[in-house]
Amino acid sequence: MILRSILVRGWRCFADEVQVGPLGERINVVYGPNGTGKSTLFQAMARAFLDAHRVGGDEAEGMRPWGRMLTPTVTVAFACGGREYRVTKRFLDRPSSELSQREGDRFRRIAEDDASDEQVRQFLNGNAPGKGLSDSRHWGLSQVLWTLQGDLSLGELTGDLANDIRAMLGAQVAGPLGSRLEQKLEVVYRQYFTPSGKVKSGQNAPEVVRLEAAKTKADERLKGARQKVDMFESMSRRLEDLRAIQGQSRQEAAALSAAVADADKRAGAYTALIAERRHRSERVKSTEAEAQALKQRLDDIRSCNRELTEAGENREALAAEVPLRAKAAQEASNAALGAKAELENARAKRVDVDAACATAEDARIYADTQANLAAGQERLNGVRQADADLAELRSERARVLAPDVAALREIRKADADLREADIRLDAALISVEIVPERDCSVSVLAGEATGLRRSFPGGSAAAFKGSPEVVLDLEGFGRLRASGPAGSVEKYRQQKEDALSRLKTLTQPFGTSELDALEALHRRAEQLDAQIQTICTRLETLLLADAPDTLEQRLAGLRATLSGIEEEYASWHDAPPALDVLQERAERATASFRASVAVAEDAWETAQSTRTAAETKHGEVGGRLREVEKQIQTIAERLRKLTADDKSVTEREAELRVALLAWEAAKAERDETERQLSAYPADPGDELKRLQRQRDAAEGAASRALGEEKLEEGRLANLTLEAPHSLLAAAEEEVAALSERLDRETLRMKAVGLLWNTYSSSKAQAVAAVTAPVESAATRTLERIAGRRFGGIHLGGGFVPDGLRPEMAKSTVAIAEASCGEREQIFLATRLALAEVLASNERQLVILDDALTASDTGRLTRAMRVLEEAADKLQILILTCHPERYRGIQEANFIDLEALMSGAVVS
Amino acid sequence: MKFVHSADWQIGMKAAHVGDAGRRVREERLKAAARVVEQARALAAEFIVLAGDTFEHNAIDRVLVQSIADILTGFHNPVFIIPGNHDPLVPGSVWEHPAWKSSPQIYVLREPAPVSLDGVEILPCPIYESRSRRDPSSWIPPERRDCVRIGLAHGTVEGILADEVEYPIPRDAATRHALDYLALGHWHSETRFPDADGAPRMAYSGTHETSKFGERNSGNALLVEIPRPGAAPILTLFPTGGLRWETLTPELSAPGELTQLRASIEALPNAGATLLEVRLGGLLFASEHAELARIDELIAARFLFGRVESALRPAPGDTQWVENLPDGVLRDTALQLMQYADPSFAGQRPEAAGPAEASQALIELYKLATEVRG
Repeated sequence: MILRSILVRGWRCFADEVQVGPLGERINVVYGPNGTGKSTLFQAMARAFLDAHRVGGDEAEGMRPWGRMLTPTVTVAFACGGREYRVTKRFLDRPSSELSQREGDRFRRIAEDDASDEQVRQFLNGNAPGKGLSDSRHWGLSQVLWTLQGDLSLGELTGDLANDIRAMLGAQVAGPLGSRLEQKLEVVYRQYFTPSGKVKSGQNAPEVVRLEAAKTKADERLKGARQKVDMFESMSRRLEDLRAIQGQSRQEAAALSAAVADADKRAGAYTALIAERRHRSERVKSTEAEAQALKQRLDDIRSCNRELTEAGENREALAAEVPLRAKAAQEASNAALGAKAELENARAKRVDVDAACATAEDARIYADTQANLAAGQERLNGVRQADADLAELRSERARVLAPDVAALREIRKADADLREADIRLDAALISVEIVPERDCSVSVLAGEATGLRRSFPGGSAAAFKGSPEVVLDLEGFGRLRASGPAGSVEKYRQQKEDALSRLKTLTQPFGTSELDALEALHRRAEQLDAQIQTICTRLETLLLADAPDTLEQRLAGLRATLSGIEEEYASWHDAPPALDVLQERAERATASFRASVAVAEDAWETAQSTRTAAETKHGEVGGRLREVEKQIQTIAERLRKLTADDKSVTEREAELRVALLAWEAAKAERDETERQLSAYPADPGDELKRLQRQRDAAEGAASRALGEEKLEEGRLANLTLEAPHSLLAAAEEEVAALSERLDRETLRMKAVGLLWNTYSSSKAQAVAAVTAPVESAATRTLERIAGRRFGGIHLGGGFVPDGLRPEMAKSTVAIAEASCGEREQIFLATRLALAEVLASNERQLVILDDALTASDTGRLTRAMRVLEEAADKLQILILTCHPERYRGIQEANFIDLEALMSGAVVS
Repeated sequence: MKFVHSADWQIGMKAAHVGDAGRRVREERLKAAARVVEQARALAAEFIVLAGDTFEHNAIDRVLVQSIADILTGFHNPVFIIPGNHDPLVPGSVWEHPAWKSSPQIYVLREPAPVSLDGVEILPCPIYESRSRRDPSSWIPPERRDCVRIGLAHGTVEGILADEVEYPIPRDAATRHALDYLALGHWHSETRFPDADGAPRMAYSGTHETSKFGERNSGNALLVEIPRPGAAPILTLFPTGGLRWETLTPELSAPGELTQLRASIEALPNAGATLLEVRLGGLLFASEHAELARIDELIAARFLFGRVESALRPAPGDTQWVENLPDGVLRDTALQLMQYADPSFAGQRPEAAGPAEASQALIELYKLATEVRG
């Protein structure tokens, strides 16, 4: 589309009618100072193409000239598709829209009002604004072709711009047939899918969705029908089971009833036998008791008679024995009295024995005291001797001054240190040994013995030491100097002197520094200490715990004891008693006394025992006699009671025989009953009860099964009325039919989706192939304006420049990194590249409103050349307040808007 | 002696394989039952034997039970029925329906015990459960008597290939049990089993109404004539089915064959009682896409039931229409879809881009391209 002219009136600054145009098909520069209405003119043109004539509201009111109630009107003449059009729109007051097409030399209306709005909008692929005035979002392709005042950027792409561009490019890629086919394909695709590729839902959902929903419901019905059929079969089996259970239970109950009847008979017979056994056992017991009683009585009578006879005989024997036992007791008593007298005589001889023993004891004490006195005296003498020896040794020990063990150890150590220092010193000294062949004289000029002069016989060795050198003057030979490394001689010498000094200090108290003498002193002191210790030990042994005074007092006591004994036995002072004789005499007297007393005591005890035994026997015989007499009375009384019925023994024996026979008969009857009972292993009554319980249980099970059977039959009958299988058949068929339709629909939907996606994919590849040339064209344009430093322009998915690819940079650089002027050059290059693509079939109008204001003169000049070339395919309308900047463009059509407004037209 | 042997009526049968036509299929089975009775009457049959599976299931609508009882009552002569494995004699079965007691000439044979009737001894083998490996005829005593002995059993004769053999019946069961004829049910195709002398003493009558596509020798009943005890039975097949089950499996290889197919489908008689299954194989030429749609429409409009299963794939050499597309996106799209439509295509396929989807997509593209070209 290219613009022919614009005519406005009642539009903001254009209160009066102003027409701009006719415009050239190449470059047009509309210029004027700020506020002359360049942008307003542009706005009026845009509204003519894109806004509905009925638009209202505050924003629309803004179209009127300030302070005037004029009706904004715009008429735009343009060419598109080889035809000439004119659109006139009147806004706000009696709004109208009219599209006319030139036929010959006049315009003929082809659309009015809304139709006109829509048709005009389609020339730009624009979108109708929802409400209010349009803005750049609704400009369609013009978003690329037209720029807002001072803003070349493409950064705010909204709406369907990118899609529109893609569609335009795609249409070119696919060609006219492809475009029409794509439209149809999209219609088909949109029947199934949303723009984002999801299957549509809701009211506009495709048939496949409805079928899926219907199938889901049908599946549920099918599931329910299957469950009912399963339930039917399950209930049928259950009913079959119940019938089997019931039949089985009935059979079991019948069999158990027969068993119960049989068991009942056996239990009755068993009970009768038990009663009979009890009765016969009682009979056995009673006959047995009767026989036993008769036998016992007869035995008792016989026993009483036998006991009476025996007791009478016993009583006579005891009566004869009693006088004999009385006499024997008297004799034994007399003998005991005699033995008692003998014993007392023997005990009276104890006084003599005691006297002999006392004399022997005194003699023993006397002898012991004498011995103790002698020993004590000897001990006291020893103590006195030890005291004297001890005093002498202690005196000698005080005279010996000797080092103790510790001092001696220190002395030994000091001596060792001295010897070691001496050895080290000797080793450190330079040693010179001379063995002259003949006698010679040696003077020591330097060395340990400096100044020494000695003569040595030939063949003998002479040694000299010194440090740091030894210098010898050998007579007749010369001077000999021996030197060595200076070293530690002085240190060792000092050590030797220190050791010597210490040794002197340690030995000074003992008067000698000789180690042997000191050790001899030490040994002597130790020897004396040992002797003193020995005597002390001996003294302690003699005294024990006593003091010497105590020992003397004890000796005096012993002497007093001896004097006391001698006072009683005066002869013992001169002739000590024969202790052995006296002791033997006392022992003999004692032994004799004891023997005589023991004999007397034995005799007395024997007599006493004899008397007691005789008296006891006498008492026993008397007692037994009395008991026998009493026993005879008791037996007689018992016999009288037993025979009170006056029956004879013979009669009693006959009665016993009869009773025994009756007992035997009763036992035989009882055993017969027992034999019959033994045929029963257990009580048939228990089995009867068990069988009765089993029968009752079986009957109960049968009743329950019957009840359940009836219940189940009812349930099954109810379920049968629902005809589950028929429901299942219908449900399966419904599902099958729906599945088949669903499969068909799904296949078609998938096929349409696949077709769309394949087509879109192919087209996207083709469009991508188109985008690359656009990038390339934009890059070339930018290089011409700004040089190569930006590298390539990278277009994003929406054909908007999103980065630069400088050759020096490894990655894309954001557009924002460029300067303001560079950015407008980048966007200009991009817009022109896109515009050329869009103008491949027809020239297109490009509007630059106050563009390139930030570009420097050099780049602006180069941009002008680019625009000149672009004008081969594009109509370019430049709105500017700096017309001088565009004066370099050849063939440009300059329009002075200010002059137009004042009525003059300047071209 | 003359009687009609039928079996496997399977009244109330599910027919999910024919979708919405299932109801009609079920109705036709009732009508076919009426035709059996009608023919038996016309042929002066002395009785009818139904060798099991009279009903599809014991849980069918009881109205159907009553309907069958009514149809059989219309025969006026004895009808001997044994329960089969589809309608076994179990609690809640169709055989508990009171209709059976109200028709004195209908004998539901519930016990494996002989039933004598005017010189005939019926030896039934009723079925009590759906599945069993037991020979139902084993109870029949091999006693030759001075009467015609007719066995009535339901099961699989030995030698018939089946995944699971239910109720096996010896191949020589009739001879073994001294039967003049053993009427069999269970298999839907009419099959005869001659004895050593070539006399057809055992036979499946087949179902009286075909029940699915590909079911051969069905939709008939047998008229059995036995002149005297021991004589060879004379079997006469007579049709009873009302529906036609047609299956067409053309393998297309050249343009025009689809049109021929359409013509042959159009020529099929009695389309309203015909169930048609068309399994298309081979190649589809772009020029015949419309023919394919026409066949679809024809079948849907005219036949009781129709199904077209297409395994067609675009004819490899049929690329003229693609070459007629503008060079670029459209042609690329068509070529890409043709690759996907080839089952042997080994390249990477997008999601839902199988041969079937791709073939259909090509058809859609062809239609659109045709529309656009006008």
